[in-house]
Amino acid sequence: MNNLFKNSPLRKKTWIFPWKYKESFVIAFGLLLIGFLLELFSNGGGFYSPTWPNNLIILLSLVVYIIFTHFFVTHPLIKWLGSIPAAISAIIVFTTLILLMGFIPQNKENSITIINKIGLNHITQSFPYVIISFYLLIILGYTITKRLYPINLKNFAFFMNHAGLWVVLATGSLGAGDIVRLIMPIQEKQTSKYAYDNNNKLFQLPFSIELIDFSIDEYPPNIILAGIADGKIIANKDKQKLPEIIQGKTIKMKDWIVYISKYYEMSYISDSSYYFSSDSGAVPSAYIIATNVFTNQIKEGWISCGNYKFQKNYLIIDNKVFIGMLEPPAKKFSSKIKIYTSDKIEKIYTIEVNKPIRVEGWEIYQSSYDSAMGRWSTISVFEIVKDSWYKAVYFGIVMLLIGSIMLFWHGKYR
Amino acid sequence: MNIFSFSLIVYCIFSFWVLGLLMLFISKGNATLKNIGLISIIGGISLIVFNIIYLWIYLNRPPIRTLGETRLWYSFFLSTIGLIIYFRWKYIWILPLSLSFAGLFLLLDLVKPAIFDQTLMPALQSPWFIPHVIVYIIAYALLGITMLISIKGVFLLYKGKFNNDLLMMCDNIVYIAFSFLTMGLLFGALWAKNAWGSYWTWDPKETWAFITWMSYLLYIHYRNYHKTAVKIPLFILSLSFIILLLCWFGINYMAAAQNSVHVYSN
Repeated sequence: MNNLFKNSPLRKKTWIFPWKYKESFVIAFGLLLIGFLLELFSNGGGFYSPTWPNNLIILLSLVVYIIFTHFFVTHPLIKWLGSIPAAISAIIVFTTLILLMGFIPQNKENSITIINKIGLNHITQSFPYVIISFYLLIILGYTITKRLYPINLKNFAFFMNHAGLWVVLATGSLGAGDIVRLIMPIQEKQTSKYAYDNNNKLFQLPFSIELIDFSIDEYPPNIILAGIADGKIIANKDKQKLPEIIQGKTIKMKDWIVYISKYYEMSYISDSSYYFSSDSGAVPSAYIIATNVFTNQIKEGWISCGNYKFQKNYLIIDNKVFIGMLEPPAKKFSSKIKIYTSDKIEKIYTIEVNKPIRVEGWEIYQSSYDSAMGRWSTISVFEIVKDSWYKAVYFGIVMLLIGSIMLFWHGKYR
Repeated sequence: MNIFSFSLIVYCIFSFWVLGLLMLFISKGNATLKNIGLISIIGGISLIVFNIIYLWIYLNRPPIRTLGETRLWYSFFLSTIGLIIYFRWKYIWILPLSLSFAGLFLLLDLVKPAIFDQTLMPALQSPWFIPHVIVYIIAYALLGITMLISIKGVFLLYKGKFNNDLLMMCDNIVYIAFSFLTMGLLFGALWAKNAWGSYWTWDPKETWAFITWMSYLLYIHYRNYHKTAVKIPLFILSLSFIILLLCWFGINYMAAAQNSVHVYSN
């Protein structure tokens, strides 16, 4: 990496202040090496984030230390920490670590033992990551204090971008140790206040949840023409979109005109015919009439995508191809729940994917359901998260957004 | 790609653009020829817009889910931004470069169309979906242009005709693109928090998006410190774009990315 900068106009003896690239890179990659060694000596045990109140103490000490030394210490080391060579070394060493993460599958035992031992298969919980993040935070910190004055628009944008990033990185990583993430599977008509964490440890919530109803809305299923030998879908040349099954619709599929004479979103089978039924386990079905455009041959019958209760049904139209139905894709998962809080208030909510609710500092997310049962699942699984630091992270994100809008507006040269 | 002939539209766009460029290059100060050329190029771009709107209505959802659909947007922004840069800085060479790049993406869509269906899985049904993807595509298009400029820069460097204005133009475009890149990253984080309770999970796409972001960050900082350096900034710019391409579709083929939520659907 040093070669890259050998043309720098500012060449001088190493380790004499002011420090430039050589010193910055030796320090940055030295720290990385120390991290790997620490990880090796702890046998790839990893590093666990500090929790409340230790993380707050670390955060405040860092802020106070940076501000104090910036104003009261005149050593050239402090000046170096806020310099561009230090910043570039931090960017490069941090990116190097993340690059390794981009190539090595994470949270999985690697066949090469040394990779596991020096933490490369769990980088975000490893010593090198923690040390380099700290290095980045310190350098970013001094970069911010260096440009606090004079107060003008350019420095304000600089502050928003750098301090915003600092707040996001610092509160996001230091706050991670306080995040509680639980899973609650719950049956319809039941009430529970217990959830499990990652290690299957039972956890009691300050409120209870009653699952009133879990439901899935579906898109209409697609109709397909496929080869009997390989089961592969035969695409229409002019129409790449798979046609939907809608009652009364006529569809051209290759040499066949297919008329959908009946479509049941929910049905039961009896005597090889389908009848409408909304009972649990009902399955989509359609009665189709297919006419060959060349031979005028007519084939008709029921097709169904099947589910956990009923078998699939195809219509074989000649010795090469058949017509079938694909399982309808899910449009919406939703759980209607009633929450009983500690202060005896009952309230009804609907939770959907992307629409979590917040109760007494906890966020409840729609996470999963019994996928074998599909739309007839009577179980809903919630992910329940407590993140006490989220306001601080949002604050940093808003600062960064303001900063990036200013970057867009002003550009570099005007 | 469409129910009616997408290939016909692409051929029309190509003819419009070739005609437009021809007119521009032979105009030599003739205002009428120049205007015909520009109108012809804008005509081609409007056809892409028409195609996007048509797809949007036809699919009943914003056409930003499959790789083929994002390529369509990419060619739109690439050509539009090329045109804007032409108007702003009067660099005529940017037009054939950005248009042929945009045309290449249209051609890819023609040869390898993505299969469409109109379903949008629940996790994608979020108000963050459109802004997240659109700001990224704008950023990618702008950065694609800086890559083209850096190629031109390397070429001029060898001929000994390099002019520092070129890098200054890159700086301006990178600044704008970087702000879009940051917004895309943050919108994604806010969306993820709303969808599954964590801003950032180091999903492979996120990892590579972060690496891309860091490498352009490196460019910005390096340029600030070494105002007269030429080779290294050009090198960082090209390398960053390679990383961007890896992030954009390279990860679909990576071992580390098997379970990514961001891998494009086929």
